[in-house]
Amino acid sequence: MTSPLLQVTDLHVNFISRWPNEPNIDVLRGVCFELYRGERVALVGESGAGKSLLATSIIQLFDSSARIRQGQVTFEGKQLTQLKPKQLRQIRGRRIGMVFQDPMTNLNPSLTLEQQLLECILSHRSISRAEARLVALHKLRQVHIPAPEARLQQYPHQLSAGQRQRATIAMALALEPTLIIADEPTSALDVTMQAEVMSLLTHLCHNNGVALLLITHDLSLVAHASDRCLIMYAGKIVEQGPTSVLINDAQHPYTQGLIKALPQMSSPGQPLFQIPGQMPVAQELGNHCAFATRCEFAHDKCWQQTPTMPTGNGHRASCHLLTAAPARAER
Amino acid sequence: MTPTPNLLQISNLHKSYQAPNQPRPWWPSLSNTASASQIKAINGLNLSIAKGETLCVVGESGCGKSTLARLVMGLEQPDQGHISYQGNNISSLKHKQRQDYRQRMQMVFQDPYTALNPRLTVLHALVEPLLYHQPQLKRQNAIDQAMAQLLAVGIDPALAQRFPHQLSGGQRQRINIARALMVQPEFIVADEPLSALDVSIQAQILNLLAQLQQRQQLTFLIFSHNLAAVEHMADRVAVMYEGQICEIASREKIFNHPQHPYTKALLAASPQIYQAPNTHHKLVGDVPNRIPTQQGCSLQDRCPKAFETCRHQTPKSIEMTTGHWVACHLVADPTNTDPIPDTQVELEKGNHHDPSH
Repeated sequence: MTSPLLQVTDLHVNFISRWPNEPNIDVLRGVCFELYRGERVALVGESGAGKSLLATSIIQLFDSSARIRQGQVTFEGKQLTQLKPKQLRQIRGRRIGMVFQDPMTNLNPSLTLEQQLLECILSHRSISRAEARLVALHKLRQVHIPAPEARLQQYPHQLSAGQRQRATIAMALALEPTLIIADEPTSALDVTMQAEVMSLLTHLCHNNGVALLLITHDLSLVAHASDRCLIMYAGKIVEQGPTSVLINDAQHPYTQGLIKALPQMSSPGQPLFQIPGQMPVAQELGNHCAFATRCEFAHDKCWQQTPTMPTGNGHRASCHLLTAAPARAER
Repeated sequence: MTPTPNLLQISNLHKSYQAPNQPRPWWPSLSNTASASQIKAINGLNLSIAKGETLCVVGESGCGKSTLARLVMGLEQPDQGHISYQGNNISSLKHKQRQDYRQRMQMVFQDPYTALNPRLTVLHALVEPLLYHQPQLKRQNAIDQAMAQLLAVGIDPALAQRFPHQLSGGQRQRINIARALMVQPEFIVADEPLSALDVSIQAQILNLLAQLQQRQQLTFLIFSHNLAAVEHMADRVAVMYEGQICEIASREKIFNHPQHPYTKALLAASPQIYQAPNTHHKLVGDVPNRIPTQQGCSLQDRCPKAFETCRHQTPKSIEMTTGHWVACHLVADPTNTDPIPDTQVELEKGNHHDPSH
């Protein structure tokens, strides 16, 4: 537990603009976090915050116009940012599994589950097809897919949405990775399937010691499905801490807004709290707090300098309100 | 709130589709009964909506929610049963009458990214339905109305000349709502209006819908699986399973005193930020594939409390208290609530409401 499994330090990722006179767009602007073995970490934020880009940056699976400008990604002691493409392929899928949002689009509709699972296993391990098939069956059983022998012969469209998502989890698990990155794994699913997929992921973390990086926009989902929570806004982590502490005592006005905007938080018939405005686009970010345009507590200092994240291990947030006036308006 | 008792009345509605995986026989069918290769999307559904109320229909995907929305809108024809709007059966409407009906009733679709034509500007998208339904209207007049509608949904009229790709998801969903409201409808059908949106945008849209309803006395039929949002906005909630309504009641009754095991399971699966998840009312397995091969209650294979009667008889909907209808054998016959022994333990563990009251 001493050294982290994954450590991301001061990661800056930008998109190279297509036109020579346009500046490059910084989308991740200095992301730092670490993740330990067997830990479930949730990454929460609105769409456009850079959550998915962060996930794909870890294994450099991003668009060809994106570049890691600065910063390091250390995984199991290796610097992922300095690896050659061939070495990186050894890590992707094998050491770090990925579960994407929509199970219908990330399974190949024209291949059976067996073909897809075996392709994944055989490209990393030198075992026979029969052995690989046993591994695939075992993994399908592990994710509670009924009648796995019959399912292997089926195509993705023959499975229900929940089964498809469980099949993609089985595929991510097939090579026994130490880290699973799940990008909105349940937003295409119903509440009942969502509960099932979340309990499955939790179970895997507890029993197999797999670490989980769970990306979502729904705080109520992660409240009981993660150990630690990172709140991301406009390419930076603005608040982090143990989930139970963070949701009960949110420090950053953005986190407080996310919690207050949940329909459960106001009585029926009453208007809901809404965070005014919308997230600034990367080009509009100046040299001030990115949330200042939407923050009800913003004061002069917020417009003059960018707040920094305090160092430490516990619950912390990057906000001027916390350093300037400790006794500020509570939730 | 109830000047006319029922704006929309649906009785014994049936709709089935050919199952995609089954080969269709090339010879003509001799009997009219639903064959084994047919999927019954809507299976004897009854529902009524009063003027001015918000009825939310909840259920898992595949339970027939979208089919019901399309049937109500007249986009599909029912196999059996009636949908009557203010006393007129909508499937027997002539072309002219149907146009009038569609003007009174508008739909908001699920995905704001695909529901808008990418080649039309916001203004064009808003003016088009208005000019279709009222061809005599002057173009400038229609544009003025569109601008007023944009203001009503909280969009800066300066965005009117933009194309959908230049707008955010929340803005697009507002445009969708504005487009539905352009022809001054009385009744809005919304199929999962929130599921493609972020939590912070969901709050904006929920507030907007509540505001519009107050201002224009709209009636809403909203399909959703987001129970937190449903609890916030609904007057009445209908729980749908396998093309039937298995429980319908006021919001307070559904959320505080759910009776049907399926309703309890849905509520338990909905994530709560400050409450630990409830694992006692868990369903087993997936939504079945709705090819009618078995008799009895459609939930029997997934219900933890299923007993002998559930295997043979389809439960009838009975009224528990005023306006609270439940279709479940456990509730229907309190003398017969002896579920199989191993589920008894589970019943006692969970915060189960005694079905006999």
